[in-house]
Amino acid sequence: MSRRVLSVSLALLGFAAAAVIGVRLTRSPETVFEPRTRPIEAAPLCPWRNVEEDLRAFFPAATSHRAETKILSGVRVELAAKLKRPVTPEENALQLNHIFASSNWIGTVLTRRVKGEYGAIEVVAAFDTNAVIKGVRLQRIREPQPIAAALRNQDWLAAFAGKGSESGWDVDRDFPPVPPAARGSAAAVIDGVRSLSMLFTIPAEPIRAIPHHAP
Amino acid sequence: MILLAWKNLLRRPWRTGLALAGVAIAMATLTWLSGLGAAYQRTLSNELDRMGVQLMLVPLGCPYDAAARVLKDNALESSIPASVLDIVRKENAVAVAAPLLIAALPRISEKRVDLWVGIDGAARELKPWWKAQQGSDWFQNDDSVILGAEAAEIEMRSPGDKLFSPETGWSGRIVGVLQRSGTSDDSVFFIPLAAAQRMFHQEGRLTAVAVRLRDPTQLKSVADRLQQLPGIQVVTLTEMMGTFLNLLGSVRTLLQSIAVLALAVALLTVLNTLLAAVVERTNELSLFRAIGASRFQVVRIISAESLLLTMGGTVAGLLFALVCRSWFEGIVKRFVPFAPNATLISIQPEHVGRALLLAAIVGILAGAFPAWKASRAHPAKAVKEL
Repeated sequence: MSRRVLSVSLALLGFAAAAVIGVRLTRSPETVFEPRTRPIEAAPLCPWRNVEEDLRAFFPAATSHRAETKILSGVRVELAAKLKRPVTPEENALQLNHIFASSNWIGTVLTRRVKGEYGAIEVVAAFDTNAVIKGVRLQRIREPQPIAAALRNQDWLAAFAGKGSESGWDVDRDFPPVPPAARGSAAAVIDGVRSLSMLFTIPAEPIRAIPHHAP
Repeated sequence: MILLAWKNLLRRPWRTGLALAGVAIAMATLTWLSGLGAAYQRTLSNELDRMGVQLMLVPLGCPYDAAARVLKDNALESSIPASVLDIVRKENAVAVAAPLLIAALPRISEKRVDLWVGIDGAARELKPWWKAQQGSDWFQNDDSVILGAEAAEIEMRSPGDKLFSPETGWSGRIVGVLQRSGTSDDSVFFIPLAAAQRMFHQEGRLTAVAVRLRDPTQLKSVADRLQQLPGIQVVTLTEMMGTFLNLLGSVRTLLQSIAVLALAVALLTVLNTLLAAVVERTNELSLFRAIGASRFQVVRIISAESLLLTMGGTVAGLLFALVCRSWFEGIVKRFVPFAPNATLISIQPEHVGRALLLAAIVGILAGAFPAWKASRAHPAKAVKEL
């Protein structure tokens, strides 16, 4: 019995010593490859800011919503072919905000930060269960007043409704005209919503959804 | 002796395990706290050194209020006349005097503020460590903007892009983006001083003048001289650091109280464990005495058990403290003012030594009463039982 106790004790002591040495070796503050400050990463993901307001506008029957992350890193080649441009680092994952009425899924809200002429513009797009756009809102914009007014014009925003990933997305042909000064930012918003539509509809094989806590 | 004590403890593995866990948690907390103060002071000192400033001239008022406003990324409401800058620059002891006009524009819907800072060329002398991203340049005209790395990331701007301030109607062009420095500069919009004064209707006014001296030993005499300027308050680096350390002190006092409480609970847990063991083994201890063991030998056995418990718990606690240092640091950073991005908690050999010494003291104290009680076991009781 005493020999057994001794051997168990020695084994535990050895394990503890190995753990201490391991921790000291791996967590040294002088490690060359460990950056001292937070590394520069890609543009931060766009948050969904006005949840209640957007739900009232797009899904009045909504009773709850749940956020999930769709991983798209496995379909980068297909995605690049659809988008007709290289896939950006932020497009490796898409945050889906699924909307429910009781327990029935009635649609999804997606957000995206796009590069406007004078600053970032944050777009909120609501999709129905067939991935068709129900509506679009701009939750944050820092363009000068004439451009902001043109982009927030209800007729212009209404032109997004009913579109899907295969629809026409040309700023001149498929949308009401905007002042020349607003054309660049308008094109950025359209491209952002089109990208969201494609990211939403592309089948990720296999689809891996990471559940989040509902806000 | 040690083996005998160890075997005795292993008779009740759950009771021993719980007592060990109690000691481990208390010791881990104490070790983290020991490593916190020194590392915080060192990193704060480094960060303030990197600011390149030895003293600041700010409008007359409460320095604590000023510090609080800076902590909350708010601009100061009052200002000083720009003519002060010329007076300061004429001081022989002053190497660099950099004017600052700081204005915070709240963006309520985004729960953040845009911090606009008007500067001139002296800022570059004050912060020679600034590094710009590729394609960046210094201000070319009054419409130029230089962005901190984080501000550029959020606004998706790079050199050549335009930037608009909806609140003031000001429009400019990005000429540079700073590389990430881990300081508050990362989220700032830098514009030429004159442009900032026009933008915020503060012509001829400044929020502060940051000063670096030729000889830091002259700090007190220069501060005393500049303090004579009307409506001006001189805040030295030492005072600024003192304010932050005072704030840290409050957080540390609170955490230390919790740690002392945890240590007291751990001591009582060990005492309770040993007392229960002694009561449980009264017959055995009496027998031990009956076959010739002295009182001192009984005291040594119980004391050894106590020391094994506290030292074992301390070793486990130290391991836990090392492995989970980042996790605890993440929690502390939420409460610590002006928390630097660098490591806040640094566990040094002296902290480990202090914890082991404390464990030995706690072990001796916790084992004293049970050992005394055990030594009182009467040999006659064992004979009667037989």
